[in-house]
Amino acid sequence: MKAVVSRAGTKTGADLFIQQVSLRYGSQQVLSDISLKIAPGETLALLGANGSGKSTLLKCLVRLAVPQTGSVVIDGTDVLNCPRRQLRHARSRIGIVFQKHNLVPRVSALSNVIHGCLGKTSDPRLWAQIFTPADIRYKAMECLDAVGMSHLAGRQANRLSGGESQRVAIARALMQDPALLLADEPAASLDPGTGIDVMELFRRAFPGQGKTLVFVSHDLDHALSFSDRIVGLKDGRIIIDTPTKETGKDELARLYR
Amino acid sequence: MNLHDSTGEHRKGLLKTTQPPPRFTRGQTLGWFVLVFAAALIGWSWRAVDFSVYELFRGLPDMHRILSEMVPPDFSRLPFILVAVLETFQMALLGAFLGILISFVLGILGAKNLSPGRGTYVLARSFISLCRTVPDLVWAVFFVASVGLGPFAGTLTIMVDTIGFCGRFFAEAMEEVDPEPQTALKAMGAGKISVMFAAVLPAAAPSFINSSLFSLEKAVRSSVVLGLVGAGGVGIELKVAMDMFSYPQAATIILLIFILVLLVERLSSLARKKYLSQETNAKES
Repeated sequence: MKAVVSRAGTKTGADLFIQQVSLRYGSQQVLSDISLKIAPGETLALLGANGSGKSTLLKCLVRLAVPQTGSVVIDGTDVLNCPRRQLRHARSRIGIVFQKHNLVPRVSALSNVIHGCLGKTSDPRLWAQIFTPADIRYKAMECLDAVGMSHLAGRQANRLSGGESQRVAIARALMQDPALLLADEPAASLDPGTGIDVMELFRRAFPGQGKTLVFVSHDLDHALSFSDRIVGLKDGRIIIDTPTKETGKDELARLYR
Repeated sequence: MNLHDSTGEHRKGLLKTTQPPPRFTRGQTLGWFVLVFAAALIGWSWRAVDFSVYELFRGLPDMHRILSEMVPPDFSRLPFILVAVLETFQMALLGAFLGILISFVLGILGAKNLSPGRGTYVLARSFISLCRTVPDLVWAVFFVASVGLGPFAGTLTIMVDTIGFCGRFFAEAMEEVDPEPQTALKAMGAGKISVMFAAVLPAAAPSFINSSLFSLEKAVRSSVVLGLVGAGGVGIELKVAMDMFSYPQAATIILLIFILVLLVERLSSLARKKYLSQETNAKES
């Protein structure tokens, strides 16, 4: 990881308290009484079968899903109950990388990375890279370089492969310089080799720099190799919460039975 | 025949699957009623307008006479007609341009995912519908009565007509944009306006360009007839020529209108093809 990360403004990771979060969609209980405390700089893997509530829990952390009860406090801000302006400020400190990377199509990789600053400023010059100030363009190029994508900076996002797109999404999160990074199955749509590369990138870019990382995965090997702690969900409840060193594949396999 | 059914256990199920479905389902029966009703409506209209094949044949000699009188076209007033054709094009271009600009704003206000509120959405959509449902000649009469005869009234008409066309397509294009990139930017703390400019507009751009080019073609065709009610352009020249039975002159005007419409359609089609091929290449590579 190159200079861009070491020069980053946010030096430490965020601390995160999730207290008694419960969420239901209609008659379906998706999350039941979830409580978690995540320390700054910790890397947490969220595991569970399809429908166990992992992605929904991740969405609750940035208020993309709103639980009926409970609270989520990130660095002292209750993201579920704060006013919109405060929510935007809190969100600007939380990076999120999606399974399908969610890049804006038809604009360049560079523009997508520049969008990483939009949480911190509403400067209209950041909407399109042709108007963006030079220092921000250079910083975005450093972020792309850090994920090995600077040679494709001018390519439209819809012309990138899955692995390339995911790298650009990580560069966008780097540009945002978050204290907490959430990643929702970041390697799920990638081949195994590219998946490991992407997970390595995460480790170097975020926990390696003292940032807090929470990632959702179906891959037990990724969870065991890249996290400090594993939380397993089943039917919306936490049934495993253990340091990674103290668990193994056999114990984790019961999440999928 | 069920080749796997050696015990006959599935015979009941098998009989059910080989039974043909009923000839008429409820939806199809309704469809037939609609068809018969539509046919009755067409028959009724046929009688009401005195549509007569006999009269059409009786008119053929007159049509032939007018067409023969048009040849050879009379180019003596060509400079004046050319100025009028140019004015028609200018009306169409400026009207379409202003219409597209206003449609852009109205499209944002009338798109469910971008509109600031329900009231604004309903107002914007209602205004777009009003512009679309009132025919352009009616708008032209209205504008001629309010701002006077001439190309300004025509330009306003084209503008309103373009709003009716583009406003709806722009709003729908913005509603149909993939919401996931917008969610990503929102989750990073980006404001609504930033999300709109950074994520929605670039994704909807191909649809904007397509609709805008179509609206320009439509504007050129409409602007030709607006002169008939005094809203500027070459239409008035055509009306005068026909009223004065100067068919050779009318032929020149029709020829020039044909060239103008064809030229704009060809250019617009070329631009569309060029842009779409870029888009396809981008998707394939």
